[in-house]
Amino acid sequence: MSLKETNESLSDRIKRLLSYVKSDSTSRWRLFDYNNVEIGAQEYLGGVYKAEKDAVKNADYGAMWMLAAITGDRVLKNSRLPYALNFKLAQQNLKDSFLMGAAAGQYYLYKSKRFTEEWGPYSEPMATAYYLLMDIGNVLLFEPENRELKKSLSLAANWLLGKMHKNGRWEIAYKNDSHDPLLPDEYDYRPTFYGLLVAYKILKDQRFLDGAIKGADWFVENAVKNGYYLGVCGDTRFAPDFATGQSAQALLDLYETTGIEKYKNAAIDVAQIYTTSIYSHPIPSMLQKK
Amino acid sequence: MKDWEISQVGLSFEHGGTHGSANNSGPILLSSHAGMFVRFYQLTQDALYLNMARAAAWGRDAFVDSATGVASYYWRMMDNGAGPFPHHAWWQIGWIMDYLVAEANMRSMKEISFPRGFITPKVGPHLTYGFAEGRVMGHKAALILKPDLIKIDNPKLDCLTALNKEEKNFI
Repeated sequence: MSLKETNESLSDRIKRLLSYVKSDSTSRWRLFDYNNVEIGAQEYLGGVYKAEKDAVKNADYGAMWMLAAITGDRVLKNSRLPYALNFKLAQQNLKDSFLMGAAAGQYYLYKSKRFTEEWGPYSEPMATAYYLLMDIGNVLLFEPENRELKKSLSLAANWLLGKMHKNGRWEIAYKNDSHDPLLPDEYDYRPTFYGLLVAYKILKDQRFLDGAIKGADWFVENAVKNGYYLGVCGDTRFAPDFATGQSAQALLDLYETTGIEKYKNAAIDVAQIYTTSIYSHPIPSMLQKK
Repeated sequence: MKDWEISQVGLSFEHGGTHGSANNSGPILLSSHAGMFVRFYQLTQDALYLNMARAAAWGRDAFVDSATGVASYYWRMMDNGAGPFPHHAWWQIGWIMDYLVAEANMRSMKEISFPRGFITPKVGPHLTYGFAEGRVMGHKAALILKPDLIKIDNPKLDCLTALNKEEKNFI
């Protein structure tokens, strides 16, 4: 740490990032008509299943609403949030009886006018936790009276609760066509239970807290105690990734809600393991590099 | 350029394992874990968390695009900016705010405290703020950010601003 210098503080970098996300051209912000609703998202230039270079997505709804709230910026409030919100509502599967209420996909393909996942035609319970419960949950902190959002959150939470096995485990994903589990030989060692905790904290429905606890108990027993973790990127069969870090925060949040020590201890166990995902060598030096 | 400027120490990776992106692309600059590690330092007093958080967050100019302020995602891309991921700017805003608020909370012995929202999807454990008032040294205060309000010449100083409308206090 003693070697480090900087020419720009982190708080000044945030100000430049504000200019970046406000500019349509640099942030590649686009609007599309989807079932007569205008949805907004940013272009995504990486590969996506069935995309014809037409994938768009949004990231970090909490940060979007946070920045709009603390800056009061009119561009964000008028030209970003309403269309990002429409995107979020459009992202919920309302067509398929088995997947009714689940997230339809991280990405929107504007040429074929559909939502999809990055790596194939499947739906993950974790994706519903992410792209509906956590995203909508964060927005509802800023817009607690938004009834349409609450309805969407409730639908997603009921779907997630309904897909939990009796022992508190979720499938990793379901195939969109047959509804069969995508990876029946592997377990969901991810903090999927957190989606139900978010639903409980917003809706105050005890069923969701009970579900979150049951899901967390399975996770602690099977993932944390064995040191088994899976990732959320979808490539390479969900190889472990930053979702392990999320598991630590998710268990800490569950501890803060329930006061049950077991979750605090489990959170610390996961955080300790996650330090092994952090690079600790080679030790930085003053050597000149080309 | 000096070795420390491009050091990987403190950074996390996207995915590990034999096929993970860590092999070819190295770690990532999206240091979503920084704020959480400050919280785990508070919880455990284990300085490893704090050192890792600060090593991840500080002095990363070599990876920040000078034109936009956007950091690259993969370490091997150096300061090439957003590349194919323009949406990452939001995650960068998210983790930096979480880290700064967590540091302020820790350094003030929790006298500076703002309500925490939920974890962001996918890239890590950082949390959102700004939806409700917090407290600064016993006074209610809401986080605000007005780009032209405060100018600090020293880049080693980070700045969080908050407002108490009732007491007409700007902090």
